Amino acid sequence: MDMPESGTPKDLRARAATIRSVAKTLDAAKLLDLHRRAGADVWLGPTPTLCHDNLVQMRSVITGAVSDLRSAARNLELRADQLAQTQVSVPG
Amino acid sequence: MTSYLGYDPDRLPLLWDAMSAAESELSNIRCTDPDARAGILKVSGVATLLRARWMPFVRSLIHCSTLTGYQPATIGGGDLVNSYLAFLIAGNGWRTSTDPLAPAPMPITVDHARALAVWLNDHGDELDDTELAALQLMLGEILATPAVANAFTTSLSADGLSTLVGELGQRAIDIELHVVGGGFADGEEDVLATVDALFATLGGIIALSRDSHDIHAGAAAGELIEALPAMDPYGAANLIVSLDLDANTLARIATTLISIEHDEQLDEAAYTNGIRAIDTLLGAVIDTPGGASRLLVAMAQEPQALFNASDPTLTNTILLTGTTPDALLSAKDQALVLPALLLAIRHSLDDPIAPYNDRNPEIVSVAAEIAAPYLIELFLKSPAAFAYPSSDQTDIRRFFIRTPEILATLMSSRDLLATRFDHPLTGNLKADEKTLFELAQLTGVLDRLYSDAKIKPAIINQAIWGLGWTVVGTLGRLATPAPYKVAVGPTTAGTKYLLEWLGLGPDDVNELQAAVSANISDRSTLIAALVVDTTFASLVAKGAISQRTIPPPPPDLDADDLAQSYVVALQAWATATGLDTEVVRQVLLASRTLINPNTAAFDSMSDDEQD
Repeated sequence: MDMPESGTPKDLRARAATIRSVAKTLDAAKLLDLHRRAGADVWLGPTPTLCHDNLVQMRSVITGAVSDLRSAARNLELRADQLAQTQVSVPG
Repeated sequence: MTSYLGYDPDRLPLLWDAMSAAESELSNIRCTDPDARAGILKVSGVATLLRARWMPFVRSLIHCSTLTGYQPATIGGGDLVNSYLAFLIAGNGWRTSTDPLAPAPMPITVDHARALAVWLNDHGDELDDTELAALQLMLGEILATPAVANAFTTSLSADGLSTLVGELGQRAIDIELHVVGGGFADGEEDVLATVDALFATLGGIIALSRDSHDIHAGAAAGELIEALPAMDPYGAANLIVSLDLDANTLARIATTLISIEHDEQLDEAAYTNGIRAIDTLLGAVIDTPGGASRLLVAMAQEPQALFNASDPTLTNTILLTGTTPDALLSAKDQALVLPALLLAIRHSLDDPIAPYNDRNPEIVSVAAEIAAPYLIELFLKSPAAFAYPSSDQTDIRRFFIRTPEILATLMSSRDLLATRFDHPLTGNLKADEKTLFELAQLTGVLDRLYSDAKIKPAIINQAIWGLGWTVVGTLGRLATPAPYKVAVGPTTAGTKYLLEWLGLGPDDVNELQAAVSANISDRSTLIAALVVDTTFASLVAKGAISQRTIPPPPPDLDADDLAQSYVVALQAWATATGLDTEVVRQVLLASRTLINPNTAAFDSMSDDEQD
């Protein structure tokens, strides 16, 4: 997914849409449920416990990434709106 | 302590598949937008960690490849810490390998608790010091969650608990013997603290289950508690302290354990050195409301076992607190306990090698104190008397008569003697009749005991006279005279009148006492006069008699027959005052009941029961 090079409001909104799409994909990522498959019904011990805890941490890293991406998309949309408003108020 | 990891060989490939799919999905996510870089970097980091760290690890386990520090292994049956893992391996076909990582704190689940209990059922006597500490940590965590505690309790067998309790008890005994022999060896102080904590935690878990709403857990806890009498007494006693048992259950179980400990003396060295279950049990009984009296009832067939406590003050406390009229509520229990206890005390002093009073010098005065409220029931053939063999009654009487400390204690225990008279004179005919009758009987019993003991009449006078004042004071809600003359000052107008009529001031009670003859009948007549006087004052106070009414006459100390002359004078007084018939009946009752039954009391102590 390549970034459009131009900086028009339309381009900015396209970039935001792309980022939102990635966020949406991540929101349903298989990793988010992976820790459930690594519980005490599958294995036990110090290393399995570490792995399970690690997977839980990864889950929060991914949800953090989703949040980062949505925030980035929102900023782009805001910039697009501001740019469009500027173009309307300064005709020609 | 070796760490292990165990895994389900069927499910582990599914985990690997899931990891692989997740990694693949994350790795395929691309976005070159600079504003997305921060988020994408995080995604990339997660994918890398999965790919480089965890997927190879899981794959190696699946293929049983040997990694550094991870070697296929077998968990020993005696491994407490890994008992849950061993259970899964045995029951679910899991595989094991060593795990070089230190065990991570893992919350104990219901399944963990069950597995631990099942493990303890077979291995409770195989715990080393490190495992004891680990067990304490695990049990502490189990205790924190009722559902987990219930799972533990329902899976712990009575045999398993018995083994564990026996093991812990023996550990404690061994260490305490070392202490007796010179002090703690290295680390023993910590082990003893751990053992104590284990008893407390284990008891707490069982008590929590017993009190829970879980019917199965409650029943399981009940079965464990009922199995205690068959366990090692020392260990069971230490567990009982934390079980918070009700008085009846505690008494029943303690009785059996005390008996077993004494009869079998399983650990002779411990017993000889005073490390005994009975001390712990008596402490628990003392701390349980109603426990002392229930224990005495439960041990009535074998009360001498109480004297085995290393600390005799525990025995004395049980005897004193468990025999008060308030503690022994039923007459049946009183009849069961009092004669048995007094006989046991008597026989304990007869031991030619080691008389019990050598170890417990207080026991003689304790005997007097516990008997004091029950002298009438112990020694008279009244309807309320204890039904016990007359030979036993004779035994106890002889014991009292021949033991100066007992009589001395009784003489100085006027308050104790008066505890049976816990109701003030009411003016109610029936209520007062019983009280006055008992006062007469008590006076008679004491008089006879003191006389048989060849105590000087002057001393008997003093004791009984003091009792009379105490009881009258008690009945009239007066301060207990100590010494008597102090309390005479603020006493009733009637009593003052009695003293004044005799030509004595309030401070001259001793003089009054000296004026009384050694004649038994005279003493009881004077006490009767005091009671009559108090009754009269009470009726005046209640308004039943006018304040202007002439008070009853005092006894004529110069009369040949003091009792007879007093009764005649009272009847004349009643006629002269023209008082209401019922009032007169009450006042006369006070005198007659006191004087006449007093004689009857002596008659009932038949000659064949005396020395």
